[in-house]
Amino acid sequence: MTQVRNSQSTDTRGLTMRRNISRQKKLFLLLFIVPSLVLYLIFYIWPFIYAFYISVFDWSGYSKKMTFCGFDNYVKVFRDPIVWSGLKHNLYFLLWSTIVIFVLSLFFAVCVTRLKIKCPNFFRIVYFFPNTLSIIVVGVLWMFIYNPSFGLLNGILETLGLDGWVRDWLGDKNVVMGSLIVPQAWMYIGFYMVLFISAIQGIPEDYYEAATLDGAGQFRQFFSITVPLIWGTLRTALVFFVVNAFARTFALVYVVTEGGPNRASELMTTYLYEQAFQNGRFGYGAAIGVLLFAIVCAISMTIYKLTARENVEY
Amino acid sequence: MKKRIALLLATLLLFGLFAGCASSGQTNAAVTTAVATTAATETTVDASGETTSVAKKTNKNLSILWSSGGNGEYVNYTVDYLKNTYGLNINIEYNAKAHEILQPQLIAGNPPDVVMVQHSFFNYYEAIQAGSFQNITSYLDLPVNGSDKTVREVANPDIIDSTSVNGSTYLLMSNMNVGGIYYNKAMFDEHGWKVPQTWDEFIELCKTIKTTTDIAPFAYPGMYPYYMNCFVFPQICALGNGADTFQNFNNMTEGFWISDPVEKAFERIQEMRDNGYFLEKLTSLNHTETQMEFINGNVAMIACGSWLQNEMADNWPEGFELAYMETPAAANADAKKYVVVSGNMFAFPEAAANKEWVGEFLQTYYSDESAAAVAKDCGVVISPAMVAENNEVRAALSDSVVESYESANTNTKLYLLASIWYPEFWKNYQNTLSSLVAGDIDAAEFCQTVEDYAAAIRSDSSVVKYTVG
Repeated sequence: MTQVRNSQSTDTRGLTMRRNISRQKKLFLLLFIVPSLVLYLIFYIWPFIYAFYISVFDWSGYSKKMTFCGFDNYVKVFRDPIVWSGLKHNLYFLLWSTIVIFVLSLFFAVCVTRLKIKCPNFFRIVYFFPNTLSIIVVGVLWMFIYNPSFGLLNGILETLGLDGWVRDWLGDKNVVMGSLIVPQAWMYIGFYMVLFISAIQGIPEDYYEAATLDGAGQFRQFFSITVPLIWGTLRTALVFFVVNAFARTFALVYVVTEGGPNRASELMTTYLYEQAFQNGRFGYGAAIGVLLFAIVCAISMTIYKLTARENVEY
Repeated sequence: MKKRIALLLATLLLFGLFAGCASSGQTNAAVTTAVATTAATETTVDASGETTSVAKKTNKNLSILWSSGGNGEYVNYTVDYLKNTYGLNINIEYNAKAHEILQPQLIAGNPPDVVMVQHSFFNYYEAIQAGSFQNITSYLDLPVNGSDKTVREVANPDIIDSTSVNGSTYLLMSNMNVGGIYYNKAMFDEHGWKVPQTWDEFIELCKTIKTTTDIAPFAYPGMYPYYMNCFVFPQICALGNGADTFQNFNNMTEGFWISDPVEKAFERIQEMRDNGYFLEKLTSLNHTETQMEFINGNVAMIACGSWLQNEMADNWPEGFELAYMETPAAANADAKKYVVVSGNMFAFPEAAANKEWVGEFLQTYYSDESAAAVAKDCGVVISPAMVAENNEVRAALSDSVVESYESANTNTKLYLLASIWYPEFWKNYQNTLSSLVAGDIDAAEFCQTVEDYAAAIRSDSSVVKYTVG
């Protein structure tokens, strides 16, 4: 009986101890999480919510004086052709940068990991290097490359006798968007390449060895082993592409073309900046921002839904 | 033990967080709190024009935010004078991104006491409507230091009324630039080209340059089509009824952009384009790139402003003789000429902590000594009249700059106020001009498109309208 009591008492003490440890852990975690969470709420979530609030006001952004205007800003946004042409250019960025960056970065990642090329680290560094540069530096660099008078690109084309291909790359409305995709791709290929390399390196070598023994070639291995097993990373990368196409193209376009010529490279973000910060129409700019947020969310969720598959475990 | 370490770490983290907040609060307080210092004994003139003792002004602080983007340090003389004379503690910040610094400060209610930002990045008139700037009308009748003239008489008097809002002045020009055509006199002499006086002579010269050399006859910074204004608006005036026609532009008069003189003026641009008189592929060139093409001898004439000499200071090659010509627009050389002028504007925020030194600032900034210092340090002039009246100012400027200011003094000055009042319209106008030069549209389409943009502004009840004349 005493033994039973002792045993019960030990169990209760053990339970209490485990509860205490669990409580301590929770407290410990809370102490570290709460400050970051508070900062996140104040500096990320609150401005986000505040943008929604601002968007229903006529506000210059130069004082605290705000006039409620209901959904007037939204009505104007939907009627503004520049917003829609900006969206079209953002989608152009999304489509082409996704195709170019995705294909090339995946190709280079497979080359470095599966084809056993020499000095893989060298290539990794070389391709990743542009990603370490400031977007401003990248923009200015490519402005020089595209310069119609002394630019490297036209110079090479002329040297090769391809005078007919010489263009005002940033001043011709027909080619300016394509010209902007190139520096964007140049900058981000390395980042996605490193992302894909780490995912591919996580795949057990046995799978490839077994596939090789079964007679599968590189293409078959790529589509039947590599792609399914890094599918989660590919999905994440696609969402990054959406965010990049809408949010991270601003600086490049602003530095290189300022949205020109004649708004041929105007993005929703550059137009938002113009309205809010240069024209003194902060409420209107916020309404464009809210629309942008809705579009990015919708596209990201669609991509996630369309690419959803059962996880392949290994 | 682990528990204690964890608690210690967490406490330190929280402490760091609060310490960060506290230090940021202290910094703001340091910026916004006025420090009372011993009063001086000098006398000065207050806003009503009466002499009062500076001793009454116990606040001896002044903060200035001045855009340095392509401008230079305009207020160094003023700062030194105010420090030495009144013992002010002055915090001066020259910053190319002054507009980005100012905006949150205006909202937070802790702006500097004096601000100059470039109006292409900051909508001054929206800010005035929002009550962000002081009405400084009462200070305009103060005499400037060392002169009988008042601030109003020195500070570009012909623009003060036009830039006012409901009869009150909120903005003043910190300097005046003159737009026009610049050329290399040595190049012209070498080829035996004469400076054109009429439109026909100009077109003939362009044809000669195009057919006899590899040099492009004409250029402007394609990325910033507003540089063409100094070329376009004198054409409109010459083809129409002079300044009266021009005021229709500022007043956004219905039908202005599709009126005969405007259409003819842009047909001239189209003619230049069709004949290949513009530098090839200039649409994507910014101002420095275009100016380098000019300096390198690839372009004979460039549409620019009086700042050109100073802006490209280290790039002029040996033997380059920069010279200014008025836009040849009329049919005969004796016809009245028109010159587009522009400038930066400064203001005094309503919520500034130290508002009592506005008068002294203006009296000093518009003095002859300050004008000479600005001309010497920055190569520009506070007001064109100073070139004729102030030998020190004149001596500090290069020949091309003096020529341009003299042109502004002798011809009719055109202030493109609508470009400041309606920035959205202005951006659309520039984009459309870019399309015209690029060959995407013709002159008639250009005029109709811009007229539609103007109509959109006229019908937009949320845009405050301004008029002149």
